[in-house]
Amino acid sequence: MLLLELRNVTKSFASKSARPFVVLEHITMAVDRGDFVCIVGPSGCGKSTLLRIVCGLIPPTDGQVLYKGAEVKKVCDEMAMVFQSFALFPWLTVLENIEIGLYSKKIPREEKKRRALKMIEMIGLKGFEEAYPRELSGGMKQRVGLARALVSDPTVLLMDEPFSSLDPLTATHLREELVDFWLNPNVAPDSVIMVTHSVEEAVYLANRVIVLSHRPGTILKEVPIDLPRPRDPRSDKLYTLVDQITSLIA
Amino acid sequence: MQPQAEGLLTETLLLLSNLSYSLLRQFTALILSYLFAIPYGIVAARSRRAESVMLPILDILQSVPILGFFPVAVLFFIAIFGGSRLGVELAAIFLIFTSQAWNLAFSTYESVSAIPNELFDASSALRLGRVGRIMKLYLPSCVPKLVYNGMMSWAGGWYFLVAAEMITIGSEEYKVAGIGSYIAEATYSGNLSHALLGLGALIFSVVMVDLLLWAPLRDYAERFRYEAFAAQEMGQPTFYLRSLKWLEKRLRRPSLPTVRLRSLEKTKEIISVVYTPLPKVKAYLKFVRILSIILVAALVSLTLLYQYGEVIKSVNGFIKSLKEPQFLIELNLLPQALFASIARLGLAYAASLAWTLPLAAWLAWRARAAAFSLLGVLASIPATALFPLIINVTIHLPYGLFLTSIILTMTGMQWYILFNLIGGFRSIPSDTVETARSFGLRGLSLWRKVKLPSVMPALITGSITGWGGGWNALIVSEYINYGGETYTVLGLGSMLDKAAYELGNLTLLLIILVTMTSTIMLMNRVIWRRAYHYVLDRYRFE
Repeated sequence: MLLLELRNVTKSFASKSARPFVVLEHITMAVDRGDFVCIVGPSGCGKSTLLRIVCGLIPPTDGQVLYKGAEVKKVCDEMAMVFQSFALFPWLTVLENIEIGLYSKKIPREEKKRRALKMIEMIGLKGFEEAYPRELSGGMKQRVGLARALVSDPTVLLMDEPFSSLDPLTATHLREELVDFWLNPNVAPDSVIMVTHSVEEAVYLANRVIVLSHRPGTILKEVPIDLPRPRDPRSDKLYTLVDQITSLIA
Repeated sequence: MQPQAEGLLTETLLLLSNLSYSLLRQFTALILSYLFAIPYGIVAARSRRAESVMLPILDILQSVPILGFFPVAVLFFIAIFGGSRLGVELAAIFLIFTSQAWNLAFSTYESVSAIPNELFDASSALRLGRVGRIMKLYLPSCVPKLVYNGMMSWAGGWYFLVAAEMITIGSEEYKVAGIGSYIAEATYSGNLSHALLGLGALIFSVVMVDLLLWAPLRDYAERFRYEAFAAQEMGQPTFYLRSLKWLEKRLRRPSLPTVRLRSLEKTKEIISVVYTPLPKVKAYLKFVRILSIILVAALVSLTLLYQYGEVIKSVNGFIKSLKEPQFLIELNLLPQALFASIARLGLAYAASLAWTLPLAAWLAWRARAAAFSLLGVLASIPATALFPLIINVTIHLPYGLFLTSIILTMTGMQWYILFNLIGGFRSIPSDTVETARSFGLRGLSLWRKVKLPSVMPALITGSITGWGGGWNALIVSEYINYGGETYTVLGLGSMLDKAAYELGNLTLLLIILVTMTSTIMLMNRVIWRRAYHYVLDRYRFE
């Protein structure tokens, strides 16, 4: 079932020279229920901008984003976002940081707390409810970021390079945990759109990889990834796909 | 025996009531400052258009010497309240307000501007809404700077309050009861023990407020930083004294809120940089100019419409005041006075550097904790409270008046320079010095090639704030009330006081104030800001 549709999305910013600075051009794509889409591309191709347009944080210059057939004009409350640098509130505890994921929901305070606590348990941060973000390691911070996004039970989860400010070992762990979440029908969002600059990561996680070109970003190719799960991050099949995609970008 | 005891009691009550007057003024002004600064800063940071107007205004306000505001404020508030005590009272509170509000508004502006972009995105994605944003994002992000700068402003407030109270003792009409006037009156009536008692009471309350209010707030504010403890930003000379530890122990009963005294090690770390935000002034000045022209035009036409007769009368008065012989004499003195003041500041600056530079170097590398404690006590005394005692000694020396005015000016400059320098010396990476030593640099050449260049950025920062403090000090150091007599040296500061308290000529007052403010702004633009950027480009450790 079609969840999300991008029609001819173009984004440009005013610049000092006469011509505006075009970041994204004619992006048309669709995301179905059950899709795990990874967007890869060279740095500066507008991947993160695209994600923010999908979420409704910034409007496209031209074109449309449709969610369940209706145009996204402001921040859509059935999507949630995970950020590269976690974007946790340093003055709130782990529990409060997760509760804020339910800020705009009209449910009783106790219910918010109950759901946040459940989330904390699920991401393995039990005992850290009252800790402040600065007391956590990078991996733990991003777990909180993920929990904050998932606690509102979003239909679409948007992830902006969620593992790129973590050390490689932590990133590997967290990636595996993300797969576990994805395969668990109780918590999984209906679909995930993730931006990354690591082709390996994209092929390991996604059902579909969308390759963007260098500035202005346009869709070069969509590559379906049919590898069965759980996947072996070192398998030859996976690496054949990685090489294929990398050659498109380089 | 009886009357003596009674005298002691009255004296104590007098002292306490004076102290409470001063404290009350300080707290009122601080609260008013926060109430002004927080919304102002948030709006300036969040709206590009508002920023283009609000920042330059703040920049100008910040350049007006605070003590220069005082006579204007006195005349203004007295005019409004028809000479009642409330007018002087409000003027004193307004004075402290002006010493705090701009600085706190800049702090808010900078804190909100410094919020990482992703946190804004997250707030939008979480649909926090306007109220949610203010409560969860803007206000918390301001806490560290507002606490830290509030503490600095509080200390600065004492300086100005005491000065203001002292200035007023000359005239019965404008007298403000407070700890400043208490100390001054005691000194001038030759009652040294009472003066010392007042000074002790003042220091005691400074320390107590720090211990009971600012110390817990400082600990609380730590939570609101983006990353773990950043010593540079806490760079205030926190005035913790080892000798106070016993006091703290006695204070800490289970029922009291816990007051944590930082360990001395940490205090050393904290004495790093007196943090001065350099206001960013952008090219929006044109817009401000147009807007202010429109505003002035509107105001003028409105008043002309409604107050035609009054306006004619006051214009006549104004023209008449321009023709007063005293006014013209004073006006002719203006260039000389300006020159004299700058020269005085230059001398005070040189003298401050001469003792702070070696001391800072020594303190930064060799000093023991006790030295810092002593320094803490000295710096925590609002220097203006010491004026009567200093004058008492120096005025009778040869060239006494000249010397006194320089020393008094130094009190407004030297601490900024000293604490910045200590911070600068402490932040020199030790391997830099070791490398230089290993190549055989020592003594003077080590100073010239390594120590001085590396401390340059801190020196410039200290100098900017130091000169700012110096301009303020001029107003109390060029015009000295001592023992019922007034001693003056030629300068903008003394002219200002004279115009306010002797001539009562508002026109003259404003001309002098504008001259002073524009000189300060010009020096900031032409000398300090350039030097700062030049030095930062060349000498900064990455």
